[in-house]
Amino acid sequence: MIRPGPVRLSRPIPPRAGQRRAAPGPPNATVREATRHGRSIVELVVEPDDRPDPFEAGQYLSLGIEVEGRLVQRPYSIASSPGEPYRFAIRLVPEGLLTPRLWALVPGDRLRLGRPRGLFRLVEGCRARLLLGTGTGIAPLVAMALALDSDPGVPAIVLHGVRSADELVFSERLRRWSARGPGRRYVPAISRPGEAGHSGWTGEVGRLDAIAGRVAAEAGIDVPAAVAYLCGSRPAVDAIAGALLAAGMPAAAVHREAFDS
Amino acid sequence: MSYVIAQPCVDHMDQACVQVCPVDCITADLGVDRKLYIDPEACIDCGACESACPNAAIFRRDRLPERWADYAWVDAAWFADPDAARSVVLELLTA
Repeated sequence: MIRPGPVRLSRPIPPRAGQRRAAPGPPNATVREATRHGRSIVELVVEPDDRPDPFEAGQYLSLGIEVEGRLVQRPYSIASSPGEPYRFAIRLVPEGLLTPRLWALVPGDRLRLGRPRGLFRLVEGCRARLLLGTGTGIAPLVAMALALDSDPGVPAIVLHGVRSADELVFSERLRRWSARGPGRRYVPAISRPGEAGHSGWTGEVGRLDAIAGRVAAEAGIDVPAAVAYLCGSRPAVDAIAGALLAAGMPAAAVHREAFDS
Repeated sequence: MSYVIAQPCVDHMDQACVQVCPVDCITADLGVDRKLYIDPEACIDCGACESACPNAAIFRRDRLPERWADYAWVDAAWFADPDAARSVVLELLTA
């Protein structure tokens, strides 16, 4: 019998008895630092009230603020190590509901944190690692780089692609990280040399999909034998993945976390 | 808007979606349900579940294929009346 269209959508949805299921709850963390980078990135350091949940480098959790009686939440990648306060990088979306409020946070303000989630994580047993992020996509890669302090023998490169130098959030942490191991490189790259924050720039210029292969080769990394972790906007991640596949990296070696905004 | 878990989940229930949802709005009674359900009142439209699902079972509500349109009702109904939702799933499977 041929079923006529979506018949059930016209039936009313049963009302929920009593309270809403799993209401999100009150603030459970305090902002300790809020540092702006350029015109649209804010780096937040947030300390939970209780013992933080364990997490794996690469995971994210939701940051929430109450707006007109409702908790508004979005997921942000953890850019810190377990055992220190959480660190996040947030891109301001001026017309958004949440990020203008995150942009305005000052030390002492309260937030609600969710629990760490996500499947974007380091895998064991590889000969070299490429960690490539654009914009605030560098955040989970910072956590991954710090986690690699327990695996110093394997070469690792962190490439951070931004439009202008004032967006290089976490640059100091990554510079210190790269100094802790001989096989490590931190390579920031700006794509718009004419914009603010560029004066005196002597580093890489170009988009990551265009420069990743060359940077890896210059570091002595055999791309087909390496593993890559990519994070950024969907178009950027797709472009970088395409470049790595074209350079001979197997698809199974390319791990991605892409966001839409 | 919300996301919806449609028919390709049935009898697979990989649960990758549960591992990636930042607000823990995906659930089911394991051992009883044959698919997972997204709570449309809690979903924040981040899309992590859709990307993670190995069975291509999850869709944003406005992108739900026409033949699975009823699953939007199913997911919403489960959180108020799981048995009503389950009986509709059975009907949809045997249609």
